[in-house]
Amino acid sequence: MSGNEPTYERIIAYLKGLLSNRQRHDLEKKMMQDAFDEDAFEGLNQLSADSLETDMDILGKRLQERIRPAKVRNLTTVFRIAAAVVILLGITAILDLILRTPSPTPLTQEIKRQMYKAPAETATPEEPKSIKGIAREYVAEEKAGKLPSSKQETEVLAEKEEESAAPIAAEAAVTVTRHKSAYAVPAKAESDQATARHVAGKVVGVDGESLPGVTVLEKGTSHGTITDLDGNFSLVLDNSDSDLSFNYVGYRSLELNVRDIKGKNITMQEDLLALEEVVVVGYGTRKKSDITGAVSHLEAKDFSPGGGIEPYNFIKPAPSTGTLKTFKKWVTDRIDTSQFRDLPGKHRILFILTIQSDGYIRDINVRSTAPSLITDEYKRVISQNLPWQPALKDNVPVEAEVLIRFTLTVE
Amino acid sequence: MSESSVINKYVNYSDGDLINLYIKKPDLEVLGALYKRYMFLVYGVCMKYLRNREDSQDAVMQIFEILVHDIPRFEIRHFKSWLYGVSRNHCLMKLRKDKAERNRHEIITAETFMESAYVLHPVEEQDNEDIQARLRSCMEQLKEEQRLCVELFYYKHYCYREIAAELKFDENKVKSCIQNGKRNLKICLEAKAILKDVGK
Repeated sequence: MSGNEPTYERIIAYLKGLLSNRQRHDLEKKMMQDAFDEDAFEGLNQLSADSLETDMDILGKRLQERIRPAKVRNLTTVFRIAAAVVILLGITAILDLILRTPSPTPLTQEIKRQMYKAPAETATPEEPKSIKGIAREYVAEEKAGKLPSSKQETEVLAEKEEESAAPIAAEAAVTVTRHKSAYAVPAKAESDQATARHVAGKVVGVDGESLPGVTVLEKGTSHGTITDLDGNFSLVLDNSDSDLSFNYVGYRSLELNVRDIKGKNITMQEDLLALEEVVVVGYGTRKKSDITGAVSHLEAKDFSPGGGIEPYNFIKPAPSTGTLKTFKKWVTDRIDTSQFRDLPGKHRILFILTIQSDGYIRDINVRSTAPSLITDEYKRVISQNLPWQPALKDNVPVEAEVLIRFTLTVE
Repeated sequence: MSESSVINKYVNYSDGDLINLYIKKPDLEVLGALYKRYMFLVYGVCMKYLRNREDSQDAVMQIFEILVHDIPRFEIRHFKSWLYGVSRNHCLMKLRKDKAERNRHEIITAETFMESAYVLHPVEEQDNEDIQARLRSCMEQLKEEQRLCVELFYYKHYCYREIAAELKFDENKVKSCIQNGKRNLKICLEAKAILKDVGK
């Protein structure tokens, strides 16, 4: 079990850069095997070895301070006397409890009242009987053993307690039990909510490919979001067992309870049926009977291989670097940012490039509020790129437009 | 009693032994000895979520107080994973209370749920040819940078730093590429498994 000590030493050595590459790999891999280790390793990596050692030293001392006062107190002569008094009182209380006769003194009455109250408060419906038993025993033991219950002593202790900022050790055992019920139960409920009120997941098609731009709504509220490019979403919920609805053009809408989502992929089915039923126009959907003018009726099977109509084959223009992503990187790497020093902030620029059928850029259209100094620099770099692979419509090169977004942050 | 002798006193006790000892007699020294074993991990988790040394140190101490209360209340079979749950919940709760931190919390929650508690290492788990073939085809479907990172880490046993140098990436990017690559592989493998089952 002390196998964690070497781990700590390894991490220190790792952070200090004392490990060979092979040893680094081994530690990185080892720390991936367990969710706890993985999170911790990620967190510790934010620190330098020196900071970590200092912090662990501080924590060790704080922990030791937290543990020690309990011992010191017991050794003090004053408290020995107090303990003797307490023992006597405690015995009275226990006798009183055992005999269960009405108590003549106000003090024991008070204790008795609290003793009955405490276990009742601690008891939650699902709590097994044995725990109640332990709690009772624990109360009795503490009382008999060392803790003062007379008002005077408690006050003395309470003062000490404020200094050490330790909430439990010195209070009467009855209060300890109350503390537990007062703090621990709501704390747990809250932490459950903290995780339950959020939902995150990934939406994929039947083939496992992620679906970007799917709308995700919490039913009955105005909360909603759309999935990102990798199909991931995360949403804060009003209610921890709401239904979520997923909508995506050409896919069957889906409703799922939050509880069924956590940690799983949400798979959406393609909706072929809808194509038979609805005429799809550019600006919305209408029933066929409501539309004046010519309407062609196409069914999903018309588009499948061997069906009535083959959809034409269109391939988007591709930059000489291969993909749009590499093209963006190509451009970004060549932007001379030194001239933007006086233009701090985040600039978003949208370019619409018109790629001719011979692959040359005919036009660069800018949609941006960014200063022209910036957009011109981008234009300059973009136009330097080698000819593009033109768009192909049924294998014939045609002119086409390409949208590219850039975000530039100037410090 | 000096600090080190406290640790040494309990060095031969298992986690379970110490828990039982503490439940029998609530001695903070026993609990402290147990907590010390994992304190650096708890601190790491706090650092991950709270991203601040002072807050994290306070959280480590607050989590110790939770243990003082909670250990006798629950039947703990595996202390380490229980402690992980307690630590993470504590951090998330703290973040949630701090409304200004809400945005960061959302990001973190997403991170948390995306890396699931399921088997993390499909690569090493089974070694039959079928899965190897599926894995190969899934590897090919990965984004280039993810595929490279996964290959270098798992097949060539490079450390993050070596991969970062080789690919001229930032180390953090390497980590996230491995993590995302792993996740995508898992998704892909599962999808293939489903398709195969449907095929039968």
